[in-house]
Amino acid sequence: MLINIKKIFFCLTAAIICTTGLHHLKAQEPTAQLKKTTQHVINTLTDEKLSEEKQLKQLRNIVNKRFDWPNMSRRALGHHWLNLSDKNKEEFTELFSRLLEDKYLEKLKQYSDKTEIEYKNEKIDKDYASIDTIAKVENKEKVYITYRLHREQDKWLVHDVVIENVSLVNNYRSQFNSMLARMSFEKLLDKIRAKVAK
Amino acid sequence: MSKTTILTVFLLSLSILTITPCMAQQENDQQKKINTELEEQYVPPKVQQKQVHIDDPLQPVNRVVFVFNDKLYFWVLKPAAQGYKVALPRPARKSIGNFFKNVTTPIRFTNSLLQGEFNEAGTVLKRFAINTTWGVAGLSDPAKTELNIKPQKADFGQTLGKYHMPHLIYINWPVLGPSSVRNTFGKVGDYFLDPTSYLKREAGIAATATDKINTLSFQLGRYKEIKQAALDPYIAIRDGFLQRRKALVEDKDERNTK
Repeated sequence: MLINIKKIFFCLTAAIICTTGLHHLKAQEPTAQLKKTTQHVINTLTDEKLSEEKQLKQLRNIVNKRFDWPNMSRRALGHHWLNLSDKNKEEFTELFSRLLEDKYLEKLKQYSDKTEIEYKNEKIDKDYASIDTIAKVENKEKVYITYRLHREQDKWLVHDVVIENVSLVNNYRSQFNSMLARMSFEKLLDKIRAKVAK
Repeated sequence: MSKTTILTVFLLSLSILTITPCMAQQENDQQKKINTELEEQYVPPKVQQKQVHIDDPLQPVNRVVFVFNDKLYFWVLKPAAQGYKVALPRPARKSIGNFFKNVTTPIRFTNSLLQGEFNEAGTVLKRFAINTTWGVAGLSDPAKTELNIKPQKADFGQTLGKYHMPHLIYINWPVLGPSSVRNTFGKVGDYFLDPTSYLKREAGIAATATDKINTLSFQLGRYKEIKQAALDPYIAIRDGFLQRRKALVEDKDERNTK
């Protein structure tokens, strides 16, 4: 009887250790993953050996791995997204990602290798997370960026960037809502196309 | 009419009466499903940031004012701030900014009290005492740099928001820019709490102008940046204003975390 209880106890602890251990392995903490990406971006931005063209290409590669563009596009269009054809969805995602990428990289361009980034207030709710970052840029005002992420298997992907309290996705959603009340979807695409081409 | 026909009619109407709401219910459920799908997919729980909305019946007028303010910025304010920035080095501009922040303490103190934030009010008062003496009339900010007592934000518009007054409608004021009915009341309230309002007319105008240009000299390029990335700059700025105000009212302004 005593042995049995001991056995059960042993099995239980083993099971608990295994599951918690596995749970821990399931996903690297979002902050660690985000840190890797931002550091990578800054390293590339400050690498003077790279040609401008190569630099941009590399930056896009890094950002693409961490940002969930289709998700962001869906959020930005809200209920309009449901009425789109697959082709339109793809086209929109492509253009919108360019737009966001430009805006995001433009903001990060002021960072230098001396920039210290503080990561704080990591909040995790099931498969969603948000992380505040404060960048101390030399001789300039601090830059406040909050990242909102979700988990896909073991990867944490960004689906919104909040710069100085303004969510980019929400900001574009307001614009799209207002514009789609006045113009067709095709016209909207043209407008984004013109903006991105600049 | 026989009893059976009456019965059939009765049963039929009964079934119609019960089925139609059922069908409507089904349609409703479907709509609900789409809605929750959207909610779940597009707005994550807890870490979410909800869309803010404001009525904008004055939009045609607001847009005209927007163009006016835009020109005012690029033709007058920006060159002025640029010249000012060249003339005065960053530490001097920081000092001027600190000075005005210190002078406007009554706004933050009174509003912290009105919001029932007594700790915050205490911090505001502590900062004022330290910076006015040690910081030489508020020209430097030893409270923050030496003692790590961070500045607090509080204004009357925020107070009204905390008491659940809605924005009502969006107003884009000439010169002053994005606002709402609530924030306009807020600005009026702050005006009476601002000591520089009680200066003689010319001195008051000079003080306000210096404060504004000084603040702007730290933010040059920001407006252009926003405008460049926007597809509809008017809406982008209106939404940015709303999001910022919302963060402030909900105490989610990360620049204000203790």
